[in-house]
This record gives sequence, structure tokens and C-alpha cells, in this order.
Amino acid sequence: MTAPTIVARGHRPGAEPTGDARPRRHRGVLALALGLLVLAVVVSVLTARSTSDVPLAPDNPDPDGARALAQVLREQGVSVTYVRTTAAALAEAGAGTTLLVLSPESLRTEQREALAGVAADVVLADVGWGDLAPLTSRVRVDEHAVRESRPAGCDDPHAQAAGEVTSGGPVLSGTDAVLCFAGPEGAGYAAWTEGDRQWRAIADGWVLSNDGIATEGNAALVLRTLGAHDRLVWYLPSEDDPYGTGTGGGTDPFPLPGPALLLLALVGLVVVLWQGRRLGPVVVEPLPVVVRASETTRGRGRLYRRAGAHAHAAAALRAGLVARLAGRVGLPSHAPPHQVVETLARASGRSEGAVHDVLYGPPPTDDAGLIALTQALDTLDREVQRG
Amino acid sequence: MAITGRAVALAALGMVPVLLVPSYATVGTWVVLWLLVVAVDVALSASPRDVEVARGPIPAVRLTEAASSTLTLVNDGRRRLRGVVRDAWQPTAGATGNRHPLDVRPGEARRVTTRLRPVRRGDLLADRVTIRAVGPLGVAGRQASRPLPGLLRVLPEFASRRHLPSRLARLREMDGRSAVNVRGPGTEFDSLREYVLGDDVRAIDWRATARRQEMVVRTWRPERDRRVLVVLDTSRLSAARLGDAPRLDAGIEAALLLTALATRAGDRVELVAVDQAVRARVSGTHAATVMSTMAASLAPVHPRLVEPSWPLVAQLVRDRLSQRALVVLVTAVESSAIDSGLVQVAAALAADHQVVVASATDPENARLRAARATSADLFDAAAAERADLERRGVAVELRRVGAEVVERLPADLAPALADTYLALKAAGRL
Repeated sequence: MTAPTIVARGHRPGAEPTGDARPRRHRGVLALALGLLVLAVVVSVLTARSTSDVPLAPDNPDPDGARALAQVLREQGVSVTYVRTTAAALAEAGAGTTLLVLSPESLRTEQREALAGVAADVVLADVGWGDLAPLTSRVRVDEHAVRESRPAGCDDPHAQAAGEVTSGGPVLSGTDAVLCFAGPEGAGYAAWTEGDRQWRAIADGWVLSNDGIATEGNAALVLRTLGAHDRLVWYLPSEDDPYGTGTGGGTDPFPLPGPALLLLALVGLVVVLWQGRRLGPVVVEPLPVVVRASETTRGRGRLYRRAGAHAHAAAALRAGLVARLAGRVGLPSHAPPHQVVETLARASGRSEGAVHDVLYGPPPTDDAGLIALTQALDTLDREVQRG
Repeated sequence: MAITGRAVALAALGMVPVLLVPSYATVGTWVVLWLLVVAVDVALSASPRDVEVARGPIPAVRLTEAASSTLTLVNDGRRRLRGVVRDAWQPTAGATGNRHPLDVRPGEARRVTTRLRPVRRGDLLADRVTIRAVGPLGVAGRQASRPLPGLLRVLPEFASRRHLPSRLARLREMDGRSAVNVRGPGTEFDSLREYVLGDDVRAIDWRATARRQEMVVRTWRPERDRRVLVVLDTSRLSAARLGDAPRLDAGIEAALLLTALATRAGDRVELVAVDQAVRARVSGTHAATVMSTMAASLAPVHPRLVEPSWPLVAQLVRDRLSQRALVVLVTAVESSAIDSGLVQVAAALAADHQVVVASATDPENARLRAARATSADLFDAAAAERADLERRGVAVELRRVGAEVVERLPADLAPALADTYLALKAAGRL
């Protein structure tokens, strides 16, 4: 590549065309990049969404969220701590706090074991189908009921204060607990004591949700249950919580947050666009036809082999050698066999019979015969050359 | 529209705000800002269509020599043109360093030079000139391609010219300028000159000596002003690859060496390249320019996959030559030559002219014939042997009808043909 040279009119004779403009341009680009960074951060902070769409999360304003409950609790002076991991829940839930565990059936055995020994009062909510051991063996969910209004029908103070509660879905059963709002299939609420700790269970998560909390005595039941202490730990189990699997946090294959991954993918796309744009189209060229001259010879050799034409190949090898040697020893090109044998025997110092066998003997019928014949022909060639 | 590495870097810089505020809104904001910067830079870049481009003339070169293509770019627009220009050529023109950085102010012009190293004989064409103008930020820009005709004529290499000095020395030996002044076949009377020591006494012209006071000898020189017609076969068999080059290239080398030698020897050389039709013709050219004319007309000749038309060759020879001449058929001696009519035409021509058939042989054939590694090799060797036998049969046939046959490996064909020419000239058979 040659450096461009100026050949035509410029502006001023003294004006340096590029030299001084370059550093200023670089500063400009740098300033622009920094400005963009600041702008992006500011805009992101201003527009960042402080809500989520996780069901029963305290920051979810959707019908299946539970922001209303969390807000009311905060207004009542209860501090709500939202956690997604077992480790965080255990750290936060000391004595004198309430630990709300949502979907406890989704926890693994290690997590249930750890939570069973917590010092806080525990409220299980949104309980799914099945056994809850070893978290608790007092209640379990075996049946479903339609969502309808039921009276308390028990002597738990919270249940009696709520009066009637609308709930449904999974229903609790068990013998060592106070069961309230019971129907024929099971109860919507259960309360029991483990040592000095109060345990409660609200089977239907809908009771806590923005949609269902305002119905009948639902709010009273939930607020009383969760607002018993002035600290509430809101534990919504996350599926990728590594607690108890022994691998710590290193199992996450993508340590970057989702938005960063998206940006990485976009940068990859930009790289593709950058490298994919050619500087002009590919130039094509009609090249002259060039066939290897030896292709026909090889093709004929392959035909001989496929046809197993050992005799034919041997005849060609013999005739070729005779033709070459004839020029060397001064034979006419159409000499009869006996003259060829006689001359070559003299030239090689071998007996006429041996030479005749090599040149005019029976043709070979297999690979071994052809190899032997070729070796004999090569030997004769060398002998005649030496002689 | 095109983006640069800076656009990628700018996009990657978005990782900082995204890690500070990890939300999808940040990513969206950054994408919008990035697009904005790119759009502004594209809008502010100079238009490549406002650049006038002209190509300088390119002289013809021999194969293996370097050429250069020059572009002159004039910025007719109102914006400063920064970016890069590409001068695209056919791949075999060997324009490797064909991208040049540009910085042209409005009204200014630049000249950029691209080195060409052609790897193929023939007429090589320029393709398009592509200009990419980037904006003041160097992030993105515009790009446009336009065809700009250009042609580089690559002449045959004429590598066989290294054989020329030795053959010219042989020619001078035959010529009267050397001490050889014996009358023989193929010579004609040149002049009388004074006897010097070492001259052959048989050359003394007694009658002239008697008229003067000193001894006078006659000098002779080879016959001059003979005609040589080279017929270059560009048909199917000339496309076969021998080593790395097609058979035609060996024939062209041989034709060029023969032309150079015969022109110095005072003969008139004509050439015709022919398959089904005449592809190139050089005739009636002055001796001083015949080499360059022949190289230029042979440059774009390429093999065609058609059968040769030997009757057409016979017709051409009859039309061109009235008196006895040397006719050199540069073709391939193969078994198929019998079917195509080479032997008949050679026989017909040999009645009136001296005919030489020159053919380059395949170096691979000898390797195939000697291969003994596997039993498959033996069949290949048998096939090669059979091909040699057939070739030999055709050569015998050609010699029988009176033609000289020159069969050599591609590299040896040109000197061998020159030697045959000198031998024929020395023997007075032209």
C-alpha cells in the first residue's frame, strides 16, 4: 500500500492538511463517549423500573402480586425485608421476627431442614400439593377445594378476628394443629406452636395477593398474621438458590446480569455488521480450463485394475520395454520376437529361454504374477543398460 | 452505509452503564444513543458519489513482472473526504495491497498507486473502485462502488529467451561473419574479402585473386529471407496441464524463441493460432517489431475445449505460402491425433514444405511409468507405457510422411525446436 500523494491544488501552501486536526478529533470522540456514558446512566436511573412481575412479590403491583399487602404493613410500622434465598432468610429471621415462607413445597430437603430450626415465628403461605416434612409434619395438603367464603370455626384469635375468609385451592389437613375455615376437604388456615414459636399456614396464596386481599376478612387474617412482630422477612424461594447443594454460588453459568448479557449479544451483532460489510463486492474471474494431462492415463490404469486386465497390463509393460530397449540396442521397430530375444539375450548376458520367458511367456492372471513380471522386466532393463 | 471498529468499541462501552444500572432500560437507552451517533456520523460523512475517479494508463508487462495501477481521486463535494478506497482487480492480477487510506479536502485531488503482480498471462480486467467515506467521528460512514474500466495486458513470460544467446552464437558460426566460409548446403554467396590467416584454403576464389594483387576468399552465409509459418494449436489438447502450466504455454515459449531466432537469421516469421477458427494471426510484420507484436497477440490466447480443425490449417497454409517454407505445427502428438487428421495434413503439407511437429510431453508420464509402490501403480505404469507406445506410433507415422517430430518436456521444447530449426537451416532444407 502506498501513501497517497497530493497531486492537485490545495488551499494554502503552508496549510498542513491533516496533522493538527487529528488530536482534536480524538479529544472530541473521547468527550462524546464520556457524555454518552453519563447520559445513559442518568436516563437509566430515572427510568429504572422499581417493580417486578414475580407472583406474590412485595414489589409487584399486578393482580397476582402482593404490593398492597407490603405497603399496608409498612404503613403500620412493620419493616418488610424481601429475600429470595434461604441463606438470606436465615440471616434475617432472628427471634422476634415473622418469617413468611411462600411456596414451601418447592424447597429442597436441605432448605426445609434449615428453615425448620429458625428462631422466628413462621407463616407458610401459598402451600402447594404434598408433604412438608421435614419443615413441619403437623399439616399437609392432600385435597383441593373450590374458592368460597367460610367461617372461622376455631378458637385461633386471628381467625376469629377475621370472621369469614374467602379461600380455596389446596386445603390443609393434619391432627396436631388448630384448623380453621375448614370445609369437608380440609382447612384454609392452620396454627400451631413449636416450642415457644408460633407457626401458621395459609393454604391459598391468593388471599395475600393484590386481587384477593380486599375480599371479606382476608386482609384482617393476613395483616394480623404477618404483622404480629414489627419485623417481617418475606421469603419468596428462588429456583436457582444454591443453598445446600454444596457448590455455593459458582454453579451460575452466566455470572453477568441479564441486561449485560443482552448488551454483549448486541455488541456481537455490531461486530458482525462491522466485519460483514465488505469494501466492495467479491471479484469473480473466469479461469482458463486446465485439465491434468495425466488424468487420462490414470483413468486408463484404473480401468485396467477394475477389469482385472492383468494380461493386458502385462502386454503393455512388455511392449513398452521392448520398444525402449530396441532403440538402445539398434533393433528395427518391427523386429520379429525371435530376433528381439536373441539381441536382448546377447545384450543382457542371459539365456535366450530366460529372456523369452520374461518377454513372451504366459501372461499373469493375478496381482502377484503382475508384480513378479514387473520385477523381471525391471531387472532385464537394468541388465541391458549395464551390458 | 458501513460502520467501523470505533462503532463496536462505542457499543461495548455501554457495558459500563449497564453494569452500574443493570436493567433492560439501560440497554435500550444505550442502543438508541448508539444509533443516534451512527446516524449523525453517516449524515456528516462526505458522499463517495461526489468523488471523481480516473484511472491512469497501464503499460503491458511480461508475466512475473510487476505493474502498477494509478487512480486519481478528485473531491468534488463540499465535505472533507476521509476513509478508504479499494481498487479491485481480478484475483490473478495480484492486486494485494489495493486499499488506500484517504483524506481529501474539498476541491483537492489525490493519487493512489496499487501494485499488480499478475500470475496469469492474458488480458486482466479491473473490477470496481469502492470508496468508503467515514464521518468526522470515525464511527460510521457511506460506501459506494462504481465500475472503472481498466485493462492490464500480461504478455507471455518468454522464459526461453535465456536460450537465445547460445543459439545466436551457433547462427553466427553458420554465418559469414565467423571464420566459417566453406560453401555447403543451405548457404548462398555473400561476398569476397581478403584472405586472413586461418581461412580455409578451399575458400580461395582463384579467379578473383588473379584479378587483384592479394589473395581473395569467398564468404558464404546461410540462406536468408526464408519463410517460417508457426501454427499454434489452441484446441482441447493444448489445455492439458503439464506440471504447472498448460501445454499451450510451452508452445508459446517455443514459438517466441523460434521467432526471435529466425528473425535474427533474416527469415520472415508468421504465426497463426487456430482451433476451430483462427484465434490470433501475426504476419507481414517488420522484423524490428515482430517480437512485440507476437507477444501482444499471443497474450489473450487461451486453450478452448474444441477439437482442432486440421483441414482449416491446411487451407491457411496453402493461402499464406506459395513457395517452399518451414511449417511448424505446435500441437500435441497423441493417439487421438490420427483421428483428428494431423497425420494426413502433415503428409499433405510435407509435399510442398518442410514440416516440423513440436509437442510438449507430460513429465508426469515418466513418473507414472516408473511407479512400483502398489499393485494399482503397476496398472498405472501399464497405462503410461501404453500411452507412450501410442505416442511413439504417431511419431513414427509422422516421420514416415516426411515431418520432423520434436517431442520434449515443456521446459526443453523451446530450445529443442530452435536446435531443429538451426539444423534444418544448416542442412539447407528450408
